[in-house]
Amino acid sequence: MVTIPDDMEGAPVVVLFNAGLLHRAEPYRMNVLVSRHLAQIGYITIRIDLSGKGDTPARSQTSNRESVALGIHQEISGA
Amino acid sequence: MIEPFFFRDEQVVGFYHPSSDPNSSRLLVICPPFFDDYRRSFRALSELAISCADQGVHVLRFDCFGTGESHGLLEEVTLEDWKEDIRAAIDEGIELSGAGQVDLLGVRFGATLAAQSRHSKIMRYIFWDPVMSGKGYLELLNRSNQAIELRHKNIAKERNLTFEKIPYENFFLSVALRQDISRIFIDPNECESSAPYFVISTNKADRALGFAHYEFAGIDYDWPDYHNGVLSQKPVLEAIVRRVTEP
Repeated sequence: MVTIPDDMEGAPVVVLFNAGLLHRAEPYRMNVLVSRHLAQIGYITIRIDLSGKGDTPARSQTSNRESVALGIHQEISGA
Repeated sequence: MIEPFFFRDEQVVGFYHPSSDPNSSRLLVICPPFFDDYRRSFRALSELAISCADQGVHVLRFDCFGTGESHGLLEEVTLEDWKEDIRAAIDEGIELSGAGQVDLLGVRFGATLAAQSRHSKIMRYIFWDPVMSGKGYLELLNRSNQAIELRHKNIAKERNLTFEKIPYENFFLSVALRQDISRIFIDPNECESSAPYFVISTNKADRALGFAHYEFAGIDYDWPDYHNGVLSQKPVLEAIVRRVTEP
């Protein structure tokens, strides 16, 4: 889920990952509220559900640790 | 595939799971639970939506205003906002899917709200461990606050730290919202004047509530005593999928 500021040009990107097993909005919507505040001060924010959490299916044939590491690498590369 | 979007003046987030059968006439709208229950069941409801869509049913999930990834803050929400979110979600789901028949699934307090919602396209109400009384639910939330406070107090004592006396409110609800919540309940007999209610429960004692259609999912789960973690109750999800996909 991406939260964008009014002016996107040159805006830095912040990537927020899951807190433990919780989905991308949590805990207590903290990631949502942080994203919206960051957008007000000019940041693009991406909230990610890593593999096996929230809305993202688990990767097959990898351990949880490998899968999470791969997910973080891919998301940061993509951002 | 999940298609996120915003509706109700771009204030409420929805997640649409199109059916594997694009011509399906059936839509499942999921009214999520709230607070700790929401956090713990998010993954389960995501898996449920994917499973139902794979089996030929369009699915719409959403977060009520002031919760999850929707806009607004909990302290500015009214109960009427949430009831209107449900009605709007049903309309959005019908428009996106073209479906003519809606199953409305309510989970915990989401079921209490779903039971207040009427729409001509609702074919069935399905309740997963419904909260029967808003008043009882508020008492449960208060007990959660007290449990958290006690836990912190004990930790402070064990570690010989000064316990800071601050208000322990897991989720802040306005006075008006508390009053509105305390007034709503589910009447198992009310379905006689609407679509039928189907209950899927993890509490055998719920059979005594008097619902005409009741199914014990085969596992026990004590919602009030767990405040953390994530659950994915396969037998419950399987029971819901069976109900939603039956002819």
